[in-house]
Amino acid sequence: MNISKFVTPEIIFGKNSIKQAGEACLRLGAKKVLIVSDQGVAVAGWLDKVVNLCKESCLPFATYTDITIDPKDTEVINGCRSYIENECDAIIGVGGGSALDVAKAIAIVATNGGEIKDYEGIDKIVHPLPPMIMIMTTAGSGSEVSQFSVIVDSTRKKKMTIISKSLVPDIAIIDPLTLMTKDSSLTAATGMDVLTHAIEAYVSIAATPLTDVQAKNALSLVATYLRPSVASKTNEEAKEAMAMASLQAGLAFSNAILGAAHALSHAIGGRFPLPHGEINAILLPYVMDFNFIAAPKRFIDMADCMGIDTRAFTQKEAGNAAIQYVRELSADIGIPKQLREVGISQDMITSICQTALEDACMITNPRDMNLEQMKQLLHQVL
Amino acid sequence: MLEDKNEMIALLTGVESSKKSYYTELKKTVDMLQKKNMQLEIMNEVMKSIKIDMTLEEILNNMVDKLKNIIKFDRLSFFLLQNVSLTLINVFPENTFTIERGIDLPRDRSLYWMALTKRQVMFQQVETPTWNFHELEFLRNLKLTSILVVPIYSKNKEIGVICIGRCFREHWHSDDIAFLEQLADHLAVSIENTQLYNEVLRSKQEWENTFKAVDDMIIIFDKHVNVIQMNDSVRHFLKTHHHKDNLLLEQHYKRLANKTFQTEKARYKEIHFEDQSTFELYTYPVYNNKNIVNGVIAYVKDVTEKRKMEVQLLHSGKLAAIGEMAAGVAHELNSPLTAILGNSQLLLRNVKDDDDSFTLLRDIKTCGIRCKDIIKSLLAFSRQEEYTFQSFHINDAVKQVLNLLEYQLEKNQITVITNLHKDLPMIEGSQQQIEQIIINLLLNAKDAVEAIVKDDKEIEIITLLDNQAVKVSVCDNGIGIEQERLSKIFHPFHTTKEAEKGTGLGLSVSIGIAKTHGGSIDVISEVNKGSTFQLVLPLQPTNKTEASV
Repeated sequence: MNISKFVTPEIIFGKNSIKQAGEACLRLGAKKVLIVSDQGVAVAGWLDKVVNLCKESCLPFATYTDITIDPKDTEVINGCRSYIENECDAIIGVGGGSALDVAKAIAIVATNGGEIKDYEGIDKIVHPLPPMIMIMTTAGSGSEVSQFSVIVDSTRKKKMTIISKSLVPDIAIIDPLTLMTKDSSLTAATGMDVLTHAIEAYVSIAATPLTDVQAKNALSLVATYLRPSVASKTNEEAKEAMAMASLQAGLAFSNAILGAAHALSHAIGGRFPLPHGEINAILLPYVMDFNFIAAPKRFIDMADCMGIDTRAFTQKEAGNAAIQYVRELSADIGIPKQLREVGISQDMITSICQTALEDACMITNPRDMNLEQMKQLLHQVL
Repeated sequence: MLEDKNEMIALLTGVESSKKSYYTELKKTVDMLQKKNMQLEIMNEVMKSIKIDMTLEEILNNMVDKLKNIIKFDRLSFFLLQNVSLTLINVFPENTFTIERGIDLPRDRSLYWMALTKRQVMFQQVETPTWNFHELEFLRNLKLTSILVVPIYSKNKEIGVICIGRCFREHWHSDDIAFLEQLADHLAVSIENTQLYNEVLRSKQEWENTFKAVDDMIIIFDKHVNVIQMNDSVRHFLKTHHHKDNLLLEQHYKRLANKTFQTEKARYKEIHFEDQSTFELYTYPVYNNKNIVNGVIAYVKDVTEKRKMEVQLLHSGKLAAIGEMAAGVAHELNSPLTAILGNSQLLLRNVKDDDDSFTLLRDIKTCGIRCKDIIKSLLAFSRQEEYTFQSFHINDAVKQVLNLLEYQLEKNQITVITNLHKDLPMIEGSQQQIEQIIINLLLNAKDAVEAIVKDDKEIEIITLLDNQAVKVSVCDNGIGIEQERLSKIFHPFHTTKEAEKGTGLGLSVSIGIAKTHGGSIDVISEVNKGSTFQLVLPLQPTNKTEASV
């Protein structure tokens, strides 16, 4: 891969940057905007904040908030109906990965027609999407900058990964102050998601120098600030750092794609309504262990980023140190260690693995993995 | 496998894909709209041609000009089904004629015919055709690679085909084909309309021409019995006739049309005009498609000549009969007369002048000769031969007539005064016919003087030369004619005499004869004082027509 490409939206970063929402929308030529969010965000007050900003900018709007964790295709259909009935011509997504992914999915169906499952896979979008502004409030999914949208097919019980350059939002607003309303467990789970994004993107076979910079920086920030961020809702420095980490990890994985941990996580998430970040965190050390031999040099780099002094280490020792670091971080912030702790049992392994092997994320996993190897890996995680 | 993987990665990272842009989308939409616009414009143009008077050629030229902008093609030809043959009407561009314009396409193995009869768009790759059709050869000569044949047809008939050819290899878009089919539908309507319109126009023109060409007057009335149309003959009549006649005509046709409208029956009336002409007026009801009378047609025919002819025929028929009889009687009388004359002459030779019987015998002889003269005149008058024009002296005619009638007149104590001009020129004409006029005038004069109680019944016959015309006047001192009746006396069957004495034909026949000699008959009359009828025969007839019976 000699030729690479790096896609990114306009990024507005900083404390109180959320105030740009209304004006940013107007700049994109919006006449009426659909604000997509979820109940949690609404309770935290961020929805009202955005609504008031739109009012201040004299921008007509409608809201849609019927979104669950691991959003379903049915939620997309309802949102799309709201978009069309209210004659909207732009979308604001406010919230974590779920709200932002649904906002993107609504944009697809509203302008391209059909059902969301018609667009599963890579580059299936034909017509341009309406202007999209994504306001990230969780520091995890990276959806505000990524070309991904993940929606659960409620009939097939599967997370559909939709990948398209058209899904890259027009403007991403990252306001670290929005992270101060998250409780510690959500901060922990989303923080581990950021870590997984950074690590998988860094070892991805589609990684490029541009993504590497983002991934390594994200990794360092997580290593330094995730613990303090989980520890305190009001640590502004930690929140700002985690917001940046989430943004950079998002830019990295959006362009370098992910790996086996996410492939498996998608397969599990489609079946169980578990926090995406938590599953990633549980799977990550095992996947790292399996992938180590594919890119030992990169593991040393990662250990360096985590602040481990690897100068005396062999490659293997450095790799193990990095994996160990991830385990310890998880343990420190209260992430379960085994899948059985979250309710996954033996008999589900085969079907989970079969689904995971078909996931687009498997393509960029640095080490080839067959069904047996994957099943064996899952056995360990159980 | 590696390639596959790299390809997948390229897809995932989007090296070969970009965010969809509204600009390109807009451009596409604008292009599409422009094309749609052009399509609509073409349709509109085709439909417009129905309303305004546009030739098929103009419609086609217009259409092709615009079509070029939205569908790529190198050649377009247009065939029209005329009667039973498919005829080439036009080709675009002009220089690609392969067969001559107006040439019919054979039906056998023809792709074009097939498209038309199956009512189906036909498509063929010229290089790799699915069958060997007739047109293949010249399409190849044109270096076309593909041909699309679009049939033009309406619900109940086939109209023609449009054939569009391309030299370049490019896929035919289904949208374009759908549009062409739609266009063909519109063209079908347009062409069918044009054809129908022309047909209507032509039959209307034919009808109007007929209407105009008719010599007789035709007037068409609407349901309120207003005149809505009249032919040129009516206008001519109104222009050339006296105001009084025009009023008379209008009065008659209005009255009759009203009657026809009310009774829903055809009506007939004869009209006599000031100028002695006679017209027959017929009115007929006109029914609409609900079988209700919603108009009337009046038909007015000038029957003056016809009447005259009829009268003359009737009169000459009578005369012929009389003549025949007279000739028979004359022959019968000739033999006894010869005996009387011969014997009286023989006797006279033997009788002395002073003999008592001499005077008697001489009277017998004189009367015999007189009888012979009368018979001779009678035979001459009744000669069964065509009336031919020749030179004759009017006085001879007068004398001949007097030979026939003098006795009759004198018997009735009518004094006949003849005042014949001695130096009259010869005139051209039929002596017998002129004699007939004089007989008629004399007999009328006789009846006129007999109808009055008077001691001195007089008829004077005068011949004279006046103003390059020979004139014969017959004056009587009889009952005369009322002023208001003067205009009617020349009408056929107009008479004041009892049925057995007159037919009412004499004067009308006379005036007919006078006219064929380019002459006329003038009348001056005063009641109870008498009448003068003057036959005027110009020396150089101005209005001489063929001598008629």
